[in-house]
Amino acid sequence: MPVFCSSCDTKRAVLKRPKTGHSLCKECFFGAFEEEVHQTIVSARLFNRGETVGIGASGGKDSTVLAHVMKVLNERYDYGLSLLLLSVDEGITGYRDDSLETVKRNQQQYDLPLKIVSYEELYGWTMDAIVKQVGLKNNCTFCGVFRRQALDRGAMMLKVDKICTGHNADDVAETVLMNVLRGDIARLRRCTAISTASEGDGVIPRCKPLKYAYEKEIVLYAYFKKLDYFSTECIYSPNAYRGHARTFLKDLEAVRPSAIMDVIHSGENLSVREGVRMPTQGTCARCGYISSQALCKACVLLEGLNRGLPRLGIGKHHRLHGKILAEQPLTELEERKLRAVDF
Amino acid sequence: MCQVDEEYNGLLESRSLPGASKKCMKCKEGTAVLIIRAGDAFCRSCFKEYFIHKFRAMLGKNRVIFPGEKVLLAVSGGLASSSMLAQVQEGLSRDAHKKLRFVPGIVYVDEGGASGRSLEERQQAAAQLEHIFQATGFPYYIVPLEEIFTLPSSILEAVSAISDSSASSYKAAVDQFIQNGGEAVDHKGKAQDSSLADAVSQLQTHDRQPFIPPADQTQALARLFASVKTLTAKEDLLQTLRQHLILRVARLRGYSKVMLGESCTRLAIKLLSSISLGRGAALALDTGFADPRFGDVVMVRPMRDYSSKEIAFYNRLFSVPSVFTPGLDTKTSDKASIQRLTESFVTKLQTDFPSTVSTIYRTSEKLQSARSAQTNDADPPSKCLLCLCALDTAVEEASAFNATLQSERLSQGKKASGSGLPAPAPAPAPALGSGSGGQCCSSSSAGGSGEGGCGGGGGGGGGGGGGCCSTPRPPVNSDLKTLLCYSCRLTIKDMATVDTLPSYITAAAEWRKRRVEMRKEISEFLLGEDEDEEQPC
Amino acid sequence: MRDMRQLLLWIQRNMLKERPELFVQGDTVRPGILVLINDADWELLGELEYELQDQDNVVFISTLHGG
Repeated sequence: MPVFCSSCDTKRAVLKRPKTGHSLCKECFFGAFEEEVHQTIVSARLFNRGETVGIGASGGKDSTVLAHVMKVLNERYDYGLSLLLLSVDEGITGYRDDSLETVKRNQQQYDLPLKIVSYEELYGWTMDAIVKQVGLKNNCTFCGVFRRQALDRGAMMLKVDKICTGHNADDVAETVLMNVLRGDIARLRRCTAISTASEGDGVIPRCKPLKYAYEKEIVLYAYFKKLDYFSTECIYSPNAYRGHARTFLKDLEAVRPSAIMDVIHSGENLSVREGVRMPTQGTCARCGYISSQALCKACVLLEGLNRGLPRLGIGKHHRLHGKILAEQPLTELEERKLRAVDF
Repeated sequence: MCQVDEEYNGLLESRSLPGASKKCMKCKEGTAVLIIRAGDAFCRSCFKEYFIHKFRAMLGKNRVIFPGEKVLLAVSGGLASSSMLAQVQEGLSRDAHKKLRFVPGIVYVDEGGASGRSLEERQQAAAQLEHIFQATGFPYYIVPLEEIFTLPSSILEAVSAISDSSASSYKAAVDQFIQNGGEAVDHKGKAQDSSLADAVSQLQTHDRQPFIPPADQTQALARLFASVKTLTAKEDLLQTLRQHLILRVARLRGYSKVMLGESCTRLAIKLLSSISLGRGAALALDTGFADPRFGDVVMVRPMRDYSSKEIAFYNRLFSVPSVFTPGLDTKTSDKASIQRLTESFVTKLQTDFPSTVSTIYRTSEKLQSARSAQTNDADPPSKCLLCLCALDTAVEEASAFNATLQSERLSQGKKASGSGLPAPAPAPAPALGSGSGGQCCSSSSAGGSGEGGCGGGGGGGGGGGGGCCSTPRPPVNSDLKTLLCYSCRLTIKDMATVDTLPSYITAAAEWRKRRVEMRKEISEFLLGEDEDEEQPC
Repeated sequence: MRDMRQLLLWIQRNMLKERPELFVQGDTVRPGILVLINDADWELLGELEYELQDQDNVVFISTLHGG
């Protein structure tokens, strides 16, 4: 017995929305999905007319759907934005080559300009080279830090006003959980913010138009719209700890589908006690990027790589940053501590 | 794209088995009998001292329990609350100048009616507990959960705090206590009206006879829990009802404090599960040391510094009696409810990363709960009807709550159009201003009754989520929902009908709605911080 | 019966009538269950590797569940 779409009540339903459980036909699902992103954009005032917006594009489903929906909404509602795709080449042979091909295809399919920045040109190191030095335990640290800066730098080259990334509801919820598990109160407070203000030179404001879109719905959307995306996991194993939080979130969703939104709601409504010490935001003495220490994370990591001291950015060696800045030599003991890496 | 953003590193050491040293780390002489935290080994006597000291340190540090105050101990029979009881006994029996200085009573809520236990089983458990309680010499009250059907709706009224709990008043109270030779001084001076005497006699506090709740009440309780479709919602509802009942006993018997036996481990789990249930605004109340949401009765958690392991060991080594009673979630699978899932997640993670619980616990200490607006009679209610925490359902522009309402609305389209809300806007209206922002989402104008437009009255408003919604639900649920916080709404949503709720809840809801309507009628005459008030001189 | 590992296996096979996963997980006890050998924490005694002696008293305590 066919079930009819609960929205238009005319067509047959072809899917059940993970977010609400309603049965919808394709068109109504597209409509609802797109409209929700539109509402998110409008109610959070993410963009202003005339802005140039860089879409962080990795070739993965989130950014592909983001690019598609941004283009659709920009036209449908006349946002008046100039859109372009920003992609980062981390230098991971095989994995990144394929996903970049996808991004290039996206560029043609959506007819948007594309800019690719690579770790190689920005830092002088590819992820492959980093993993050789650092091993597989902490490589994600490097990649995460480098990517963030890479996007900003690419955006600056193109005079982009805002960057938008494909972070979805699952990502935001997962980050809330992670920050609780890590006890990182500062990040916990910020992580549900839908956009970040400009925090200094070289940092472009970012936002997450897909903040309230479920990952499963993004996949459904991409599938039914026949969007082209690249779906393999990074070959360098993802951080094991985050995997725990991810599994927990998935399990929560299985028990109660609204759980993802419920976690985000919690994140948006929790408040931190006055008087709790938070790290102050300053700028990096070397490159000017935003940093709560004398040297920003990327500079510290790079210094470590360039000197053959890969542990420099891993763990807390803040005292040594001052030494490095002043170009003082490190003692033997210090060097030994920074060199040992467990693979 | 790899979602690694800015990763943390090296903060989480994996577990390592302890070294060969088996000496107590404190006295360095005795043989260690247990390890707690990340490697602290204690011998038997040092552990005992450490455990006992921690209890008084917790009370001393927080200074909310005044000398001579009546404190109600909520004992479930489980390990932690039994341990708490033992610590109170221990603390009161010490020599004069170090003695704990309050007046304890015990309350045990028998929840067997909700988990389908037989009367015999329940009586057996109650008898065992009674035996334990009698040995303490404290007054005790054994209350079946069925009592919720005789609660007055006033239990849900917001009451402002009576006692001044500042540091200076604590010190003053201590001094006065000592001056009076250690006699209890009632500093509240609350008048008890005569109707309370009747209420007290209604409340079953049998000291000798075994209690037998009326059969129709037990049936009503069973019906209530049967009408809740998910275990998650059942557990949440049970917790809420239990709180109300304990509050009632405390008020009737003049207790201004209630001690809950939640351990550090349990609270870490609770923090995470509260987040998963959408209770972000109330986290500090749910997991902090003191929970002042009820106003005149403050709940405290003196066991919050103890891990489950420490408690279990102490009870075992020093023969603290406890009585295990199966609950709603006994023997259920790991994924049966959000609470069970969280418990299993945290305990598993703790084995691999031994700092998990303490880290989560530290996070909870840094949070505060959302302040609710000043509650006096004139203001519209800003506390959740059920959990009495500040409402977190203001429909703000960009929020998860709002997004949820949007999704509900957009997924139901024509069926929900009876509410008079505008249909989703398809036409290209100028969506973005040049900096001034465009139209806000159309359903965000929450009107007087606060229903944020999720399908409205006629359509699938109440039961919209969680299933094919081609059958419109009766709007009963949606009436109650407007008075609830985000999380309690989710619980009610999981109920097939709200008719099974005890009358005190529905009565309180009615009362509140009448107040809101009255207020609407007279709002132009009200003075004060009313926003639509125009003030002619 | 040599060590705790074998004891757990034995218990699983001979004593658990239902829902073994509530007690054991893999080759050790489920997280949340404490093990005391002669009233001492088994973590101090080598856990699964501890070799049982005659007259040893082994107690399992669950910390899962309210208190």
